[in-house]
Amino acid sequence: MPSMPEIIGPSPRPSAFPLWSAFERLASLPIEAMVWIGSLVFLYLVDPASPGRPDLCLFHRLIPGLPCPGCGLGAAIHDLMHGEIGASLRAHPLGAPALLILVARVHTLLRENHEPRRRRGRKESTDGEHS
Amino acid sequence: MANILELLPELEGEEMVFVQGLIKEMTDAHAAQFAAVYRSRRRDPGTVLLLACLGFIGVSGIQRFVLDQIGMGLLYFFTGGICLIGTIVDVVTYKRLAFDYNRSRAIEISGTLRAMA
Repeated sequence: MPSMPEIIGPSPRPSAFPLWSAFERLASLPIEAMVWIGSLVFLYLVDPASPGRPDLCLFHRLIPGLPCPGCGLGAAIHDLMHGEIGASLRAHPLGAPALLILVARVHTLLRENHEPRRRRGRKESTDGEHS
Repeated sequence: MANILELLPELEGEEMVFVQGLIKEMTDAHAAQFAAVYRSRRRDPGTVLLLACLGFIGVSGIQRFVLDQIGMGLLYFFTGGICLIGTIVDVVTYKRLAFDYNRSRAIEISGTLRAMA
């Protein structure tokens, strides 16, 4: 079938449109990685503790006044990403570990997203050697 | 040539395709051994979904502990599933979470079996 590649479409075009291939790579990320990266970018741009900002904590919205052990973590991560370590510790002492755990998780997700492709490539090459 | 539908009929979708690719070249005895070990180590996606749903009644992050993600489990547990956002993410992506875990277990087991053979 000589016309097969034309039907499937020009998917392997690595350098024709660099921006598009970057977008494609971004769109192939697992949903979980997208959510964590998105929320970290959001936390960098927005300080959840700034006055006038609505309370992000859903538990406080359900039951006002509920003591929540995680409240202040968002503000602590925001302060940490802007280099204000003292303010971060005051907002929540465990902001740094929380940020570290999230970054480590995103790293794992990205590695797993790339590994299967690499392994498939290696497997094909070893098959070729055997045959 | 081992058949996945005889050895591990409970697998579905992506996981079935992946494990079939792994056991395709194994001998029957090897594949049976792999199936027995894999069945005892894998996590059922349904269990992951149920544990993630516990987050809606206040106990978050158990699914992350079960999948060996201790750090994420602690973070979820003490923040109510990162203000329910993480719980919702996990309920949506439970199949991917279970598959990522099961895939590494499958690779581990097949590697051990190959080393012993």
